[in-house]
Amino acid sequence: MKKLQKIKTFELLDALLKKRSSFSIGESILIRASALKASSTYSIQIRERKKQLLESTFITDREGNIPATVFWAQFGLDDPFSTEVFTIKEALERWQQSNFTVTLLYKKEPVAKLKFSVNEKFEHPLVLASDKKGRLLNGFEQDSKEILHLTFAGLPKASTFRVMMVRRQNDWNVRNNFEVAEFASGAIASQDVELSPRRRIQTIRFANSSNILPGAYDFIVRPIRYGHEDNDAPFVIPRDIIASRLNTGLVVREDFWTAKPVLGGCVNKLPISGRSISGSPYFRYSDTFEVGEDIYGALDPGIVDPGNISKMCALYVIPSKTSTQWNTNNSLNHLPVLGGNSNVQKFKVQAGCINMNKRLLWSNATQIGEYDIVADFGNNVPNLSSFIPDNAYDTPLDIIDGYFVAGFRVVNDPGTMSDFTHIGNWNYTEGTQGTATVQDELTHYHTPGGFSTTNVTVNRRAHVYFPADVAGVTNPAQISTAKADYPLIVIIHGNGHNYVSYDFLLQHFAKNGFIAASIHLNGGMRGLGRANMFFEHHAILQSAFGSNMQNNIGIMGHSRGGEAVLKVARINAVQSLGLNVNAVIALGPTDQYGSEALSGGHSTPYFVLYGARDGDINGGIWTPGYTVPQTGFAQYDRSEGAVKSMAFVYKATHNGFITTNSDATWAGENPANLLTAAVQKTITKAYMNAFFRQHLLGESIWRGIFTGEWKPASVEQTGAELYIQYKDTGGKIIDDFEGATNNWQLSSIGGTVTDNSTLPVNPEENRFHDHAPSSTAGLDNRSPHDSKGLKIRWNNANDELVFNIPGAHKDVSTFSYLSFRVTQKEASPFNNFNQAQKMRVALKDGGNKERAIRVSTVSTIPFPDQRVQANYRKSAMHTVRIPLTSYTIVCAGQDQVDLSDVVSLAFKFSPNASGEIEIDSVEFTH
Amino acid sequence: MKDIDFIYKPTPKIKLSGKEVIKIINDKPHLLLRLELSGDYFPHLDRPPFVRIMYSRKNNFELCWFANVSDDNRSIYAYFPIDCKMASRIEYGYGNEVIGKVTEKIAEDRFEKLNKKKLEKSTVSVTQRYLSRMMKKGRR
Repeated sequence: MKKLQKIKTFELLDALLKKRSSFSIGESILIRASALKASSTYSIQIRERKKQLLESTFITDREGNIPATVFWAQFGLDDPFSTEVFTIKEALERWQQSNFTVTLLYKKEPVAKLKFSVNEKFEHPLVLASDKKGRLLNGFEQDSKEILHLTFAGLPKASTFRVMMVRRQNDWNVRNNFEVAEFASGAIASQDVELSPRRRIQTIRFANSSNILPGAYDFIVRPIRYGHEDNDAPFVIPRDIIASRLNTGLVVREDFWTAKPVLGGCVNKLPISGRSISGSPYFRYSDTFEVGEDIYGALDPGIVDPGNISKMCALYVIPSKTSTQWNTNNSLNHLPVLGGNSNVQKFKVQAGCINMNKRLLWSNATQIGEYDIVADFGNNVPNLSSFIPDNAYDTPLDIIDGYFVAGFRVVNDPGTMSDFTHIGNWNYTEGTQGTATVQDELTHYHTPGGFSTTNVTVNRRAHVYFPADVAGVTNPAQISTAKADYPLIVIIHGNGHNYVSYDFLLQHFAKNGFIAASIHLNGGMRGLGRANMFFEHHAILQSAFGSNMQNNIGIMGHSRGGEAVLKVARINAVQSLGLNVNAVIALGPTDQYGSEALSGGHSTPYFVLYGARDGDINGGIWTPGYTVPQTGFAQYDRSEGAVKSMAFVYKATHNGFITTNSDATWAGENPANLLTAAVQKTITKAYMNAFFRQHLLGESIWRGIFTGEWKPASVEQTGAELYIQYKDTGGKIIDDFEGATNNWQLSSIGGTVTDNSTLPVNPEENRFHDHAPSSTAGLDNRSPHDSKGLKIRWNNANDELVFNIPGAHKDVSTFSYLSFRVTQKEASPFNNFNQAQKMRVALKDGGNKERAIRVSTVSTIPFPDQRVQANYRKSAMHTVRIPLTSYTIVCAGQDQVDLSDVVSLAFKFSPNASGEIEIDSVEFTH
Repeated sequence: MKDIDFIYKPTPKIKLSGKEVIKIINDKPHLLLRLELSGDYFPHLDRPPFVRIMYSRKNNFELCWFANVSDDNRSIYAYFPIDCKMASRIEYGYGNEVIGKVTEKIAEDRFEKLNKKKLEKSTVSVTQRYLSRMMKKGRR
């Protein structure tokens, strides 16, 4: 055997990462190796005597390690050379005399060898998803008429076992929380069963396939000890048996054809890229990675071509292709930095299913760009010796993470990046800058201008940070000479806040090339007084920084400050003060001082950040005259004339974005159920820096964050859920429902709208929320929107709503996206609890060619955040943007739509049999 | 001013319930009485939580053997000997500071009891006598 180098370790491990030389039937076998060549491809073969059973390839990480990776998911229960599956008894008979050799190879040369044998005793209890006979049944389609059984072997002493079906995660450890899944009937997927440890192998019936919702699951089996307190523990306890620690216990798939991104089409698009995380759930799908991250991949497919099961596949990572490129050339070129096509990883997907357990795809990814991943099934065989990948993306067999939009991207992270190593800090107080007396509003009010005034004297205090060339700089005159001048960002805090609490944000902005200041306001000041203090401080900063400070300003306001920033933009425009306010951010803003908005002469790029569990600005109405909840949603809706976006963050609070979640307890929230303040601050830094870099530094690369296309990696890593609204100027509105008469059958562009007699009730067009004593009740008293829209209910998967497009508007080929806002109606009995809603959007052209795209291909329609105070839960819309190339890209079996001749846009409410949603802002846009 | 939702935080009404449970202590199953106090938010503090049953206002009380705050901060679980008597005043707090009380008396026979015949043979029944022996041995 030719040795490449001294191998430090080459080991076979079990699921608990213990080194083993024999394995029981059903166990997962992992391999681990170290001191190999870095970022290189190795292959591993298993032979039974002279017969090769299994071969897979792996790449090493930047240190030359192959991290512990599942190699044979359920040892012995399938013959890897074929697709045969066995019962446990058959497997014992098949393999009991076998001895196995595992060889590590580099460029086809062996570099290390191990042997292992079969342990006839069960080292650990075994639990499998199986058929009635006890054969592996790792996956099936929901309505396949299968009956899920569970087969047990090697059980510990106990008579009663609680069998719980839980959402899958990529590893399980003691104290990991779990949530027992629900059946489609609504019952909890948990059974207490009597099993005899004297019977070596036994099988029970668990559920019909039709009663299990599509998804990936694991099974936790708990021996019940009478009276023991921990029988009911909602987390893993030491005596729990985990059926599938590292591989999926069960995948229930949606119907293959109806679940495709393109209805009836052959493109099988699934998420593959993700990152390994150190805590539960140990792997998270992700589309965005920071420069230098390790990129992993895993497959838990909801839809599978039956031909893929138990087959070999090759994983290509390629530069993302445009639709034009895919339409002309389906070849795959694995990245040169990963070794090109000759070094694609090849492996066999899990028996009876198609799961690919987590494996390293790209170590230390430093190449900025967008990429797709293709799982190429080639000549579709189960063993490596005869497997030939064909270096091409072939539908319907191959799986792609990409195609309609980029599969993943490697990009700098606006939450962690910096352009300057050193920053300067200049703090001033009234000792040097004196006080200012400014006009303020006396109290809250609705009608613009309808307020009494009061004068407030305020100490001029601020914290200021700026780029510097060396450490310890405290004088604005010592600002970095790397550039001639720098944009300015000013933060205006809210009531009960302290201007010094924003230092972490100011420092981040300064490292990214901004002069950043947070100014002091008195407790109790309203919006106008805070806005007026901005101008006082701008004069101080201009004097201090002189020509080093650009007339290129971004302002961020928190709470009452979030409303004050709108007044700053308006006052600046109305009084012609000449300041270039080019970016406005409102964090949890109030809406109580005169119905402010950014519009007309003071339209400005605008971003609102707001937490769904805000315990202060919670969504109530307390100011006479307001008829919609007084939050940033209303201000966002009223603003127009410039690009705007809003991020609604589930489980986030009012103050957690800056300090702590203290406001949450006022609202009865349990802090344990919220995003931590650390996570919220990660969101604050990333989104605010990206927004200011885009609009003050002209960096368009960040636009995708605010259109909702991607999230910064530092935010994705937290698992935080946030939903984006986005609107730019220059779109073609199909329907914004703002007509004088509430006629759902006539769109804004004069086209007819019809349901073709499918819907159970007519859609309703009206204002979303109209608090009494307005003349109409509005569509939804849980809507936070200051807008009109449409409420739709359906009760059949064939229901639809069709917007006919008049001839004058049929050419949409100059646009890039079909866009609309949508939400599930909060507390509607027609939506499935805690599940995303599903639907498709179809375009048809004048030649009768139609294509329907599944919304989940690019976005989701999430269930509303369930804060404790139910009356403040919100039917909050977010924007879905479907690339128009989805309608023209080649998709075998489906027509390409002529975008210059679009005659109708249809919402098709499949596959869910019922639902209730609200929509607005249906348009073609850029 | 109309349409103000009057929201205030009233003094929380603490709910008291009890049941016998088995807990593994010193690697052995022990039978204890567990009192659960719920109805408020109980923080996790560096100071240990406690619950005590007050038989009179002064120093006549039964202090729990130990107590935990639940993971979700919604309950305090306090563990007592199975033969301890209830009283109409139960206090709880952290360290040496009482922060609240329950003044509802629950009779012992309302607690959920386990069938002693079904318990594992090695189960230790924690009684007041058992506890005082533990204290004498210096094993808190």
